[in-house]
Amino acid sequence: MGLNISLAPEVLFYIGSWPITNTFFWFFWVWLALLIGSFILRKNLKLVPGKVQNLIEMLISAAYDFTESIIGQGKKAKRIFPLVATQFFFVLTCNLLAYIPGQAAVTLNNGEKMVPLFRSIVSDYGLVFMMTMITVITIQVVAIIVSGPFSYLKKFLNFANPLKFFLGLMDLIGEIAKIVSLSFRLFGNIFAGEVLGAVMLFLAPFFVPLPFLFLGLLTAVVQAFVFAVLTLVFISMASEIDEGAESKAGA
Amino acid sequence: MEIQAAKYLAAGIAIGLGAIGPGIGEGIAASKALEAIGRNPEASGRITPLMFVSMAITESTAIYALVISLIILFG
Amino acid sequence: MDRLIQALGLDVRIMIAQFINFSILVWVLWRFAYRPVLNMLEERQKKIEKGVADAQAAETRLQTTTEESKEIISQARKEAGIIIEEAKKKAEGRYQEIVDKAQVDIKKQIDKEKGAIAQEKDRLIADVKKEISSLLIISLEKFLQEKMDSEADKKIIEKIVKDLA
Repeated sequence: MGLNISLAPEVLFYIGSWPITNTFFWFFWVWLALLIGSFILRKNLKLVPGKVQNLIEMLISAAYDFTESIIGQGKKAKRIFPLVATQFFFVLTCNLLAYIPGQAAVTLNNGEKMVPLFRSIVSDYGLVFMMTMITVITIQVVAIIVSGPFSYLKKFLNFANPLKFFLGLMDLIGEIAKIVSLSFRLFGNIFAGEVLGAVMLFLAPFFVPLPFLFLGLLTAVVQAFVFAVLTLVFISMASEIDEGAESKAGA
Repeated sequence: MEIQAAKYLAAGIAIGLGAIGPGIGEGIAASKALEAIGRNPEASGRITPLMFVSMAITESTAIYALVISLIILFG
Repeated sequence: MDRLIQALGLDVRIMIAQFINFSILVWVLWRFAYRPVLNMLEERQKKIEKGVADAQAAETRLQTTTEESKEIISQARKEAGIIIEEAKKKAEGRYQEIVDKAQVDIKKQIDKEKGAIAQEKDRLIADVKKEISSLLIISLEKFLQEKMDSEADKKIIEKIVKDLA
């Protein structure tokens, strides 16, 4: 048994010329499950809740309270909550799905070689990058709406004096670094957890991987939380008309 | 030394050295947060998420190192 | 960079598909999960608040009612006390009156009886005196007829009898 680590998600099969990777395959099922689940929830919502509804309500209301605690109460929280909460719940579902045991054993022949059927959905950089892009686009749109297009542009391209020009350039780099760090944080953590688990399983199949499994479980929850909260924090920073805009670059 | 070998070496060194700083930083953040919780246990609900967020931001440096090493490997 | 993109397995079409899918997911979850649940929570909170307020109002009403009823009872008791007191007083007065009247009546009766008895007695005494004097006269006449003149004696006897009386 050789250790087969691939940075990219493995292609399972092709529909026409579209490569269907294992992450996209499972992304689709999780997506469908969440969609159908929300329809069912909408239909079965009652004023006097059952057990499942109670749990869902608790999760959503806790998430909403947390959102309000960071961005402040009112319309802002209501506007931004869907994006942040979806990121959290989706990433959490994806991450926890990877901990259903027995997945590593199932492989599929895609014509060229044997590839694993299951792969942690978030360890697909394309998906994470797109989610980050949604966040970044939202941040920029919020910033433009709040501060107006001209002062928004002025933040990055300021020819008043060399220092301000330099700081504006740094801001620009900071925005790009935001994309990189936000996306690679989630991808890196989950992928590293996968690789670590695989390596440990390869080296010592019994008992030794357990602590790493728990660590990975913690990482799965924490990274979902961190991704959503960073989105929230960035948006709340962009939504404030700030004087010290230079200081918030980076992260 | 072959160029491929040098690339592997450089990638390993990059991520290894880049992980030192965030490791220390995250340790400091966690210790301070735990100290704060120990001093004021009622505030743990506020402190814990902030700790995770600040740790995630501290992690950025390691992530840059990861990106650089990936670029070195495949770039 | 191309190698990196290839190594990460990036495919623009898949990425766009995922972008659209994720956007749909956000919208659907907002429309069908978050909004209804949050609205439901708000509605329930309102209902609970209303329920609590109602319960409080009912409690205060109950309290005021209890107090009112207590007050009414105490007032009624007080009035009843007053009425009883009055009745007692009246009854006492009436009793006194009756007793007084009875006493007066009795006294009157007694006086009347006494007067009648005294009259009777006087009459009896007068009768007796008359009887006795006539008896005396008759006996004295019989006794003295042989010895004395009737006219002069009669006068003396009458005088004696008068003195005796």
